[in-house]
This record gives sequence, C-alpha cells and structure tokens, in this order.
Amino acid sequence: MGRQYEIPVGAQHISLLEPLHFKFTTENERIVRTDANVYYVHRGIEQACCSKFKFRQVSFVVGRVCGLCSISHTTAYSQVAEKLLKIEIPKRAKYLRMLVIELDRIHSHLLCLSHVAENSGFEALFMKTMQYREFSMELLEAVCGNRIQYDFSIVGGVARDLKPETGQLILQRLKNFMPQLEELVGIYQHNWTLSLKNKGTGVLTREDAMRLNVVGPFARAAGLAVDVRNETEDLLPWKEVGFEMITDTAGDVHARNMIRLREIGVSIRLIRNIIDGLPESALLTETKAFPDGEATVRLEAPRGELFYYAKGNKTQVLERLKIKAPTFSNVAGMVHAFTGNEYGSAAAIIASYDPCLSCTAR
Amino acid sequence: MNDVLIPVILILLAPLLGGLLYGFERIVKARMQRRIGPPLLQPFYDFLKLAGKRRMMVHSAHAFLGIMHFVSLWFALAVLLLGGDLILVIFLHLLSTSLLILAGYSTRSIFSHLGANRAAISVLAYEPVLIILAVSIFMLNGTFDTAAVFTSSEPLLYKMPLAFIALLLVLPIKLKKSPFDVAEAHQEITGGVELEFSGLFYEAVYTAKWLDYVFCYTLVFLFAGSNILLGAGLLVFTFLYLNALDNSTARVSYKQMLRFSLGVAFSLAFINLLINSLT
Amino acid sequence: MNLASYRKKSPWILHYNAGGCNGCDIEILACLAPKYDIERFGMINTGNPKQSDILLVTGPVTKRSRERLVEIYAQMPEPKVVISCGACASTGGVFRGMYNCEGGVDQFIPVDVYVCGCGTRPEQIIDGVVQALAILEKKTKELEESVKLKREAVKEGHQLNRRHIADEIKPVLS
Repeated sequence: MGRQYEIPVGAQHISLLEPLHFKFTTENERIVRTDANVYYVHRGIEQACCSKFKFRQVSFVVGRVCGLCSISHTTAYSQVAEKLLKIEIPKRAKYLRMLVIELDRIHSHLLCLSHVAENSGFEALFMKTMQYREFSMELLEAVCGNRIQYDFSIVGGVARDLKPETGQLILQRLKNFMPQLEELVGIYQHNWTLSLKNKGTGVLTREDAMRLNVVGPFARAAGLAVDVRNETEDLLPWKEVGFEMITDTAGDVHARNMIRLREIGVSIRLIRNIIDGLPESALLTETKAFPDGEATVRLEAPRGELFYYAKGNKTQVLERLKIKAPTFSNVAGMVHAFTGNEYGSAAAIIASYDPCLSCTAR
Repeated sequence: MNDVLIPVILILLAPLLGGLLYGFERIVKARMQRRIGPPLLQPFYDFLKLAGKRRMMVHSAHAFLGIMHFVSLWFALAVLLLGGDLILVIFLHLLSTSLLILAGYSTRSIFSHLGANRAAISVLAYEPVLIILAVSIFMLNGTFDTAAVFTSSEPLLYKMPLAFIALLLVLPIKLKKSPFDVAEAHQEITGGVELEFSGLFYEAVYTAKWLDYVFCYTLVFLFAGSNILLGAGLLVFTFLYLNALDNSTARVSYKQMLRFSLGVAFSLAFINLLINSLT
Repeated sequence: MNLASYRKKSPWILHYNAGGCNGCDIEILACLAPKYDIERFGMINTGNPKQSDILLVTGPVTKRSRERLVEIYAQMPEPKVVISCGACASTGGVFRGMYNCEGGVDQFIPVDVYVCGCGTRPEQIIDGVVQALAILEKKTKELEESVKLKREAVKEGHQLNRRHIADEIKPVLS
C-alpha cells in the first residue's frame, strides 16, 4: 500500500477542452478512486428557452448548447416543435438534415480521434488527423455557410438548399478522403506504442455498460447495440439510406477508436446514398399554428442518444423544454472505467469518452 | 594549444549551438508533421521574451535550484569537452538533474511532485546504461579520461557497437522525446518539474534543455574518436533517428519505459561490457 | 539591431473555456493543425499560466468558472494580454441574461482584443492574436519604465513583492 496522492485535473488543463474537474486518488500512479465535477458550464439555457425566446427562435439558441453537435440539437428541437405543431416536413428537408448530421459526425469523430492521439502523447498523429479533418469543415461550410454553428435546421424544415454542384463537391471530397481514412485506420490499429497505451485501458465491460446505462460509441465499443438510427424510422429515414450498426466487444480505448473510424466509413456511405437519392420537394412547411401538448424526440448525436422533451401551451413561448444530452448518461460509466488504470493513461481515457460537458450542463 | 582552444570555444558557444539545434529540430519536427514550423531562431526569441517577463518565484530555494541546474549542467559539459573523467561527467550530469528533481519536490504542486517522481525514475532508467558505457570505455582504453577517446585513431563504434545501440535506446529518455517523455508529459502533468518555474527562472530550465542537447550529441560523438567525418555522420544519423522516433510513437507509461530500458538497453550494454572484458 | 523588438515573436498561449459551447475551442485547436499552423508565429499552447503571455478566453463567464478565470489571470506573469474569442466571450452573446451567466469576460478581467463571430473562424483568431502582439510589445515597454521607477520606491527590505508594487510611488530624487 503506497501513499495516496490526490491529483486534480481541471478546471483548466491542457488535455481538456472544456472546464471539467476530475479528482483522481492514486496509489503509485494507479487510480483507485475518481470524483468528477462536470457542472462548470451550466448557463441556464432551458429556463431561457421557456421564458426569453419565442419557440421559433429556440432552435438557434439550442444550437449554442454545444458547438460540436449543434446540428443534432437544432434538428432534435425542430423535430419536437414540429410534433407539437403537428406538421410533417418535406422529404428533401429530412434528407438534408441527415446529410448535415452525418457530415457533423465525421468531423466530430475525427476531432475525438485526434484528441485521443494527442493525449496519448502522439503529436504527429494528432496533426495528421486534424489535417484530414479539415475537409469535413470545408464541406460543412459549403453546405451550411459556417464552420461550426450551422443553424441549418429550423422549425418546419431546413434553412438552405443543397446546390447540385455542392453535392458533386461533397462526393469528390469524400472520394479523396477514402484513402486517407484507410491510412488512419492502419495507424490507429497497428501502431505499437499507441496500442500499448490504448489497448486494455479504460475498459468498460458489457455488463457494466448495461448497468450504468451508457450510450453512443462508448456503449457500442462495449458490445451494446444501441443506436437511435437503428430504432426510429418515423422522423428521419435512416434505414432507407442504408444505415448499419457497428459494435465491438473489447470496450477499451482502442475499441472506441476503431468504432469511431468504422462509423466514419458508414457515414460516408450514408452521405453518398443521400446525395444520390435526394428527392425533389419544397424545403419548408409553413404553418401559423402554435405549439400545443407534449412531445418527445430521440436522435443519435455523434456522442449518443440525444433526448428532447417539450411542452407547449398555445402561446409563442414554450412552457417547458428538457434536454438530456448523451454525455449525461455516460458520466457514471466514465467515472467507473477509470478505476485500476494508470494515471498516465487518464488523459487518453478522458479524450476517448469524447465528453461534451456544455451539452451535459447546458 | 589547439586541443584546449577548440573545447573552450565549444563550451562558451554551447548554449548558442544548443539553441540553434533546438530551433532546427523544431522545424524538422514541424515538417515531419506537414507544417511550416517556427523560424530557425525561435528558441532565441523565446529566450529574449522570457528575460523580459516579471520575475515570479514560488520560493527562493526553488528558483536557486533551477539556476543551479543550468550552471551545473554547463559545468558537466565543460568537463566532458575538456577531456575530463567520464565517470565524473556522468555524476555531474546526475547532480544537475537531481537539483531539478529537488526543485520539483520543493513546491507544493502535485504535478511538480509527479514530474519529479518521474524524472527520478527516468534517471534510474538511463543512468546504469551510461555507467556501463563508461566502464566499457575504461576496459578498452585503460582510462576514464575522455581526452583519450577524443584522440584515439580507432573509433569506439567499431569496438563496441552494442553499447552505441544501447545509448541510442536511452537517448530519448534523456532528451525527453516520445515514446519516453514521461518526465515531461505535457498532456498528463503539464511539463512536470518545469511547471512552477516562470520568467527568468524558467529561462534557466529552458536553456538547460539546449545544453542537454549538446551534452547528448557529444556523448554520441565520443563513439567516433578522432574521426571527424564519422562523427558528423553519427550526429546526423542520431538526429534523424530521434526525430523519426519522436514522430512515430505515442508515449508509453513509466513502468513500461523502465522495463524496456533496464531489460533491453541495459542488457545490451552489459553484453557489450562482457565481450570487451573477455577479448 | 534592437533585440527587444524580437520579444513579440514568441507569444505563448493559454486557453481557458469559461463556459462556452466548445465551438471556438475546436477552432483554436484547428489553429494548431497543419492547415493554419500558428507555430509559424512562434506560438505554443503551453497550458501553464506561469509561462504564458496570451490568455485566450472563450464562452460567457458562468458563475462557477469566474473564480477560476480570475485565478488563472492572476497567475500569469506580466506583461500579459487577454483575448476574448467569440461573441459570447466578448459580450455574453446569446447567453446574455441567463440566470447562471455573468456575460462577458471584460466584467472580471481587462480584455485587450475582442474577436467577433459565432463561432470565430481560425483566420479571425490568428488576426486577433497578431493584434495582441502589438499590445504585448506596448505593455512590455510600459512595464519596463514603471518597474524602474518603482524599484527605487521599495528599496526597504531589498524585496519586491506584490504589496510593494501597489504602493504609492515616492519621488526618486529627494
């Protein structure tokens, strides 16, 4: 029994993008206990959405909940508002929403992978992944007009149309990206020192994943086949464009990396199918109704299941809006999976969870 | 006359040489990562800037230890270049490292403590190999003096190639390069022992890093003896090897590092010693 | 050749997210990447307040992160420059008036450069940092002049500490 050290990581630390505080109790640099404090970024968005903003403005506000998955938030809110308004949106709008969600997933996953590489002490791989990631940012800018805050989905449809030449540009860039993706898979899979760092660290078993109710790539790496894209068909037709579930069994950092890389491959296929089969229709369903009643929506964000609940009372302002972000479900699993690992791997494990605390705390 | 003048000039210019080497290395590293990279004189710009910052210190002993680390490292380098005792050189270098480790322990920051822990473990990993190296040189030349090595016409590389490989394996630990940069580990302990230094006092630690480069490359140069051409070749090879290794590996944990260093590098050096003493 | 003019070529950056949406943070990360590569200008992301010159703050200041923000600012040695990245760091943006937001970094620490946009583009961030360099140089000069004056004032005890710096400047020539 060695002397116990308490190592605080956060609220400002170079391996963290956001304010988040971990307190690791370590023995000979082996973690025996973890305390997490994730509520540094609580801003009070839900309350403001129900008092300050009209229901059509809220879709722009909830986009600012999180910069990485802003399209998931705006789309989920738009869908829940459309349920309250009882309108059906045009098919082209649905397809365009799926297109931007998948592009966003590519950029988010690549960012997470590069962050894992950096926190494992592999700077060159970080640079390489970030360089390959730029194509998705450029495509998102071409489609939506901005690099990170897209505001693409609005209540009733989407804000911008996809020009045919932009569609061709996307296909061209994806074709260029394919060999780069294979290169990345090769490095993440086979680099010896990276696998020393990543294999067998931060393991979450299938039983624990089930018990702690984790979602997203975190759960899929542990062998739980949970993906909202596989379960719901009513709002966005995922199966129609060829969605396919990907799972792994190891549940460690390496498995999470591989899940993310393979999901990028699926996303690329989905995007190709979406652009090839893009239906012609209007972009927006106009309505003068006010939201009424209660509704819930689930959507697969890059980090897992995103849940929206809204309640309207026939006025411009919603009565209640509730956001449950994917990272919120994962916090318990995150804290659990640290135990027994080296402190040196902790930074890589944090990055491999891909925590999004501005979603969690709102 | 000449054999004193050249080392003295080298000693005086050592920080300058080390800074240029560090700047060049940053460019090479950036190019390997497909970036443009900083200008060649970037380390000196950093030097000038750090000199102009406000002098903040944790406590005076901490700052003093940081400066003494720089001074004793320069002294060790001077002894090495002037052809002193190799064992003395290695222990002077150890002294300078332990001053920094003491500085790390003297603060209350947990990251500084962890960094000092890890720096001590790094010393444990590379120091045995260096000592075996010195003993092997003694077996061959009958003296610990580096002057004898510098002037010998037959390069050490041909006599003890295994020891050179062992040195190459422990150099990344000494220079804090990936995969063995656990003592610095920016993403884990944000620089370790350097963490609490700032301004002018950080400058001492930062410049000591350049001196460390000169020190390590001089050790590599030892293997060429008086053959300058071979020496230059060895230096270029070591430089490329270190950078290629730095850019293609992730950081391993300190336990893996210790196992590797004592298991592989130490046994290589030891086998080399056995061969030398038998023949 | 004036050596002091080379000082501004080495700005080391510290990044703190005071409660934003991560959007600007990933753009700061993108600045480090090969496409924008801010190491061209000698910038390093140090992650250590004691060795940094430029503090990049993103996000509206939430009630819990404001003390950390001020603490980090206090730990940086002078001369230092603060850049607020993005609309919400500059003014509070869309979060202004929400119950847990203070709104705007400049309410707590002095901000030198405001970078606009939601989210800021990497080009804007680089432009902001380059503007900050000029301010950094100016501050360095001011600091040097003032230190010369104040050193005379605090000769007692041969120590320069924070309390003494805040003292009233006594006339140098008596």
